[in-house]
Amino acid sequence: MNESSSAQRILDYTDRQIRWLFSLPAIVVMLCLFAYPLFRLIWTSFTNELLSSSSEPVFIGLANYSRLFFEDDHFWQSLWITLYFAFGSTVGQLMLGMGLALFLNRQFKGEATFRMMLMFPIIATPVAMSLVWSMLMNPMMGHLNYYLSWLGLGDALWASDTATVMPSLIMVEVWHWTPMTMLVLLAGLKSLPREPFEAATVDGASRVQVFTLITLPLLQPYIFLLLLLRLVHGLKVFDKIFVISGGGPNRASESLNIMIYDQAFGATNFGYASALGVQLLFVILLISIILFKFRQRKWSY
Amino acid sequence: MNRLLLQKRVARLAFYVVLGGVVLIFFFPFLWVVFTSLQEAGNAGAVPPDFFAAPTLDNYRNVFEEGEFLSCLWNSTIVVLLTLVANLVISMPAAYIIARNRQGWMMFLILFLQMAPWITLLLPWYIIFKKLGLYDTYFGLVLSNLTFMIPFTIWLMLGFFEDVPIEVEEAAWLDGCSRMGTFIRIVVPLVKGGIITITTLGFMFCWNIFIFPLVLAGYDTKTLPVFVFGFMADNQLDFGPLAAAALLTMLPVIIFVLINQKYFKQGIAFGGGK
Repeated sequence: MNESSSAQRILDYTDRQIRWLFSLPAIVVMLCLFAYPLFRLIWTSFTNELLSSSSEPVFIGLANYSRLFFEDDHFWQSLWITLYFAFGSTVGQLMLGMGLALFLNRQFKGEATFRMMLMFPIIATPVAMSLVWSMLMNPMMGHLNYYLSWLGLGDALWASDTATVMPSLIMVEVWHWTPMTMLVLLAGLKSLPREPFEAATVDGASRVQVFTLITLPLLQPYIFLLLLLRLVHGLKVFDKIFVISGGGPNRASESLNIMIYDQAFGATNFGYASALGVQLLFVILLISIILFKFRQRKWSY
Repeated sequence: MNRLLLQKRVARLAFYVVLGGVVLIFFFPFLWVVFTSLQEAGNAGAVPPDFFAAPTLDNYRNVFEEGEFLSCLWNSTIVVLLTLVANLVISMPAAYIIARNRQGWMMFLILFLQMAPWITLLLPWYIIFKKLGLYDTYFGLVLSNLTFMIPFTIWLMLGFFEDVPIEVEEAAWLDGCSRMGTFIRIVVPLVKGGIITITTLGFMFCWNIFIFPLVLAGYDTKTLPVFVFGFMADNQLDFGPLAAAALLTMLPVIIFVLINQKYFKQGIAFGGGK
């Protein structure tokens, strides 16, 4: 047989196996980056592995978990901070985004330019913008207090005070992501059928009635998607808190993400950090499952 | 009649005033950072701000003289470009196969993978990467970026591949084109829009990612976001250089996205955000 037929045979073979040939690289990379590391994370959470020591980690059963549930008070506070941040910022983004979408749902001159300017918070590097916000919120030299004084308001301590650090961080998160919720909801509004709105106007429904009885139910798929995406994202936020407050003052903004980082790379407590990581994973999974169940029930009637 | 016209005009004016206010709230940190980066050392942190002070480029010189800045800029660029290329080579064929075989469970798996918080993945990665010698290498950083790029790309490309009619491919097969050849020569050019969208959003995600290089990059491969964070610790309260560093860090990604803004909007409206 000659050269070309063996080349042909190789081609035939790749054609038959194309399904595997094409998906194998992605599957292998994802397995290496997710499957084995997650297994390793769970395994490490049962050991006393330390980053600093070279000795082999020892299996210590559930000791890390009992420490986290019963001995470490900060775990519960940290869990609360994580949930507070995620739910607070998600609600803020959805409400503001909805308001903006309703406001911008019309045609006007300069629409494209204005919309592009609104996109800037999403594009800009979060670490750089967190740095900018931490400068703006500086109690001594920051400009925010100066602008507040224009409105006749007193000075705030922003991220330097245990009482205001969480609202300040949520504010930055809402500033960062509201343009995205706005854009998705606006796309949703533009895709709605017109008939129900015309019928409602004929029937003399008020604007509030139109919004609560027609717009909201019709937008439900979009709202659900955003709720899921933003909530899961909010539970994972690390950059902003790490740069702006670093978890302080007095651990008042130390979410689970920050606590895990500090335990692992600050205190070199890898075993304990892994146990915390498993908890965070579990919380995110639980919230997603609850959301999906909730949606199924709502849709079944 | 005249009154109605006047009312309309006032309503329009009110709309633009409110719109201007909204845009200002979202945009003013950017105005502030440009303004502050051009202030002299003594002026940058002044309250009330001196809006008419003479601008200076000293702060930018300060950042460039840091020395590390240029090498971090280089590292960021290399990691982003390598990630984008590797991602397309790995994800496009996979997305194509999933689109053609309609494997719904794959979508669910992809959504599920997106839920894992980066920090929990970083714990095992750190140990594994150290063991395999991937710590502080470009390869390691590219690999870490692929964790969000691959699911995101597959998710976004599915729609584009499903829009390519199977008849086009069948015609190519009948003409004796291999399946691999059909994919590269016929299908890929038809989903160009998707590729540009992925490149635009991917550039943004990879340029901006902080937590991966924070843990996985050492001195040799430090990227710009990590540089800015370190710069912040070194120059506390020195607002001028800090503002310049922040601005220089985000300028490349802002320019890149503005060039491709059509595709950026498309991708974000699709439900974007990791």
